[in-house]
Amino acid sequence: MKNLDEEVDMKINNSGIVSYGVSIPRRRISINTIASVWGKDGEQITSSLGLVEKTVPAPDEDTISLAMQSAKYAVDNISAKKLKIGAIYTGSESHPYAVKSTSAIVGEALGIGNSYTAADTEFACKAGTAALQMILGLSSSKMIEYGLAIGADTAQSRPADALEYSAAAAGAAYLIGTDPKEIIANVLFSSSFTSDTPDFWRRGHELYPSHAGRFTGEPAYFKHVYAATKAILEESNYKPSDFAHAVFHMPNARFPQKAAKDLGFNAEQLRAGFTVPLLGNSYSACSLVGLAAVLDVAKPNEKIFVCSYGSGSGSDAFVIETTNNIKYYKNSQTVKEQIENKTYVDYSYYITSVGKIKL
Amino acid sequence: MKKVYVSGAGMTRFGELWKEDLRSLAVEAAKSALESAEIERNAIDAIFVANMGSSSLSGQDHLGSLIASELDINVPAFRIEAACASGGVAINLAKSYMLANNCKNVLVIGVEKMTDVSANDVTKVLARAADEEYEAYFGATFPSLYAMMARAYMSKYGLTKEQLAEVSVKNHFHGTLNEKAQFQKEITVEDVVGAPAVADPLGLLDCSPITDGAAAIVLSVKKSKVQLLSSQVSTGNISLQNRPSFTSIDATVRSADLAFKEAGISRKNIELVELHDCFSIAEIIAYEDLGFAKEGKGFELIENKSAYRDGALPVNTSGGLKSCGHPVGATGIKQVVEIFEQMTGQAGKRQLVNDSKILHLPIMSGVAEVLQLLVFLQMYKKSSAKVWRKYQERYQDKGNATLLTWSTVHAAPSGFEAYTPYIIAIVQFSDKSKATVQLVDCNEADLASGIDCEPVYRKLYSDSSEGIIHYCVKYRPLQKS
Repeated sequence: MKNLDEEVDMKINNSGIVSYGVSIPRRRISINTIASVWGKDGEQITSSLGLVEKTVPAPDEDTISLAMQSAKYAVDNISAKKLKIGAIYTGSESHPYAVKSTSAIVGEALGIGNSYTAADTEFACKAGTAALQMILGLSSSKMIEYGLAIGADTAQSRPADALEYSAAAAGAAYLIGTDPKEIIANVLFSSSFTSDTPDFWRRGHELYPSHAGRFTGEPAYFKHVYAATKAILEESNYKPSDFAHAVFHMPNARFPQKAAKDLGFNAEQLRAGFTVPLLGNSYSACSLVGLAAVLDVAKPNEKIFVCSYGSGSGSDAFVIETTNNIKYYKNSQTVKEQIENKTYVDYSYYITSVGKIKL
Repeated sequence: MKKVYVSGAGMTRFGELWKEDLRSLAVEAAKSALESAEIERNAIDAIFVANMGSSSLSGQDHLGSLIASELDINVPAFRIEAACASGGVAINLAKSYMLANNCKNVLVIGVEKMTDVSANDVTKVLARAADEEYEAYFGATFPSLYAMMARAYMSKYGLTKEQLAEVSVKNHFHGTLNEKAQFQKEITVEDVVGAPAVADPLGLLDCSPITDGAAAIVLSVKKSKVQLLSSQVSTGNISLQNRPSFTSIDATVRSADLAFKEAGISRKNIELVELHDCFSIAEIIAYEDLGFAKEGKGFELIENKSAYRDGALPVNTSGGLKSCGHPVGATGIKQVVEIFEQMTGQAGKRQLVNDSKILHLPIMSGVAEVLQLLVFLQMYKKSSAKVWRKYQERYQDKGNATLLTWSTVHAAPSGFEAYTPYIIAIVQFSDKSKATVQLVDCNEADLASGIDCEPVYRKLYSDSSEGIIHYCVKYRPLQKS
């Protein structure tokens, strides 16, 4: 969306987060359990990826149901008001339909009428933040009063592939508005950095994604995250130490920790939004779940840095600042509560539930 | 009013009759009934065919014409569909038709060919006897509805699974004497309790089987040995959730009261009963609803052996639906065939009393509770729009709900296989309205009547890998599972 070689304005005017909701499946599978199936050393994998366990969707949980549930929580969290939602965009790489709008199904479930625009986005793990940018654009240009940006995924992974240890499921929804009396966190800036980088992909009709191994690191994740981060910091005149919290996309625990360190953020800034060890990588929902975990504990007037990454490749960065309203905001289903509310399943349940065995 | 008599009765063998089809079954039963009545087919003035699922199970509709063609007669012929009550309702209508049209003889046939499709498909078809919109759509199977009644009954009256099993044990014992029964084999309480779950707490041997078969009777105005003293139909709410009680079927209570009144006799005059034991719990509840036992005391008839063939009030000497089999449309007619054979001394090894003095033994046949079903079948269509209508109008703004009764479905209708086992429940909202829903994110062991549940959006099923995906609101217990 932006060519960094040009002088461009990354500022977003008068739009911010009014409410948000997260839907995390209750089931978990431990990295040890998966490793034991493939004769791997679970402790070693846990240690190298920094993951302990990941979410497993129930057989009746898919991207649409997770999107609906997170959107419902977002709307219910401020249930007093009848919202005029003018747009819904849902980002996912596991939309249940190849052709049919996830976002329209969400809108119907919420019962918001029919006068809204809707579309689904796909950009690997950053489809949710792309949706958020689109909603912010409509909102700050006053084309809509409220908009919903959703990231949701039930991520696929080939059995025995490295991704099987991290590919997880969750949904996160953000209600964006323009009324300062309602905004709990203003989105001040957003930037993106995009290139054609084939580090991870899935062809149509294929069940599982393919990836280019270590190529997903330096030339892919790190290059894009660094570029988007540096650009937005430069444009906004903020430095890493200005932020109380930072969320970098979490394909595993190592990548965001290294990115944060290299970019000048510290471990304490990462802590609140660092959800990956116990949830895994929920793809399009991942950065947005991390942001929600931050908002659950954030105090007024705290700056939050968010940078997503989507293979293929691109990064969307955001500078967010909480307002005094967040003191009065209550998320009825916090990320922490949902992380703690869990039931473990075995590998046979897992592969049946996510459709690796076709019934 | 003219009197109506059962002048003949006949049936096929019941069972998995792989070599027979819908047509051959119906014709065999019809010819057997005509032979029993000692009349030629040309003496028939009208034909009533009771059948529930031939559209889906056999790909055949227009059964009136089909049977008339096979019998090579051109009389008026009607197909009657009222789920499990199809046979009983067909007899009721045939009697009215006879009297209204001055007929001499009317042939009533019940037939169902069920084994040509998969068990999952049969489960789906049978669930259409319930409320498609409020129950079956969400994955409620017919066994699961009776299982929820069983759970409610067991909780209310302390009935145990072992006691419930005694019903099947008795009916299987009776079935050993019936050469036309699907199962002619005794079973034990241990067999029943240890059988695989179908819809908890009901196991495989608590449930009547999937059966092929046909039965037919001839109703005549000419006096013969067996008189049809009364036939009454009553309807109750098609949805279990909306019935006044989960432990009684009010339609049965009403139709029984009306029948005894019309016949001018009391329950004490009854010497033999065939009733609808589609599930073990159904027989216990029917004892009470028919007035043969007080509420919560139905099991006593089994415990004191009254309901055995040599007891004070033999029930289901044919083996009942459980042992003789349950070809749905044929069942109500078969019950009359059994009574006819007992009253005319043609019951073979099952014969109770070979004495024509019990001429006026009334018929207690299938009781209608689901007549409204036709309306809902016509509304049946597949579109995702109706998914949203369901919960927007009914559940969306109702918030949390309280669990009333539930069943874990182990034998699913087609389309739900990938989610099995799943839990079907009836919940109540703060405005006292009820809904049949699925419970998720919980183990059955954690459930208890009265716990609070929150709504969650979930996938319901998919028409096929190419078809529409249906979503709905399910519920999950609020406390951590």
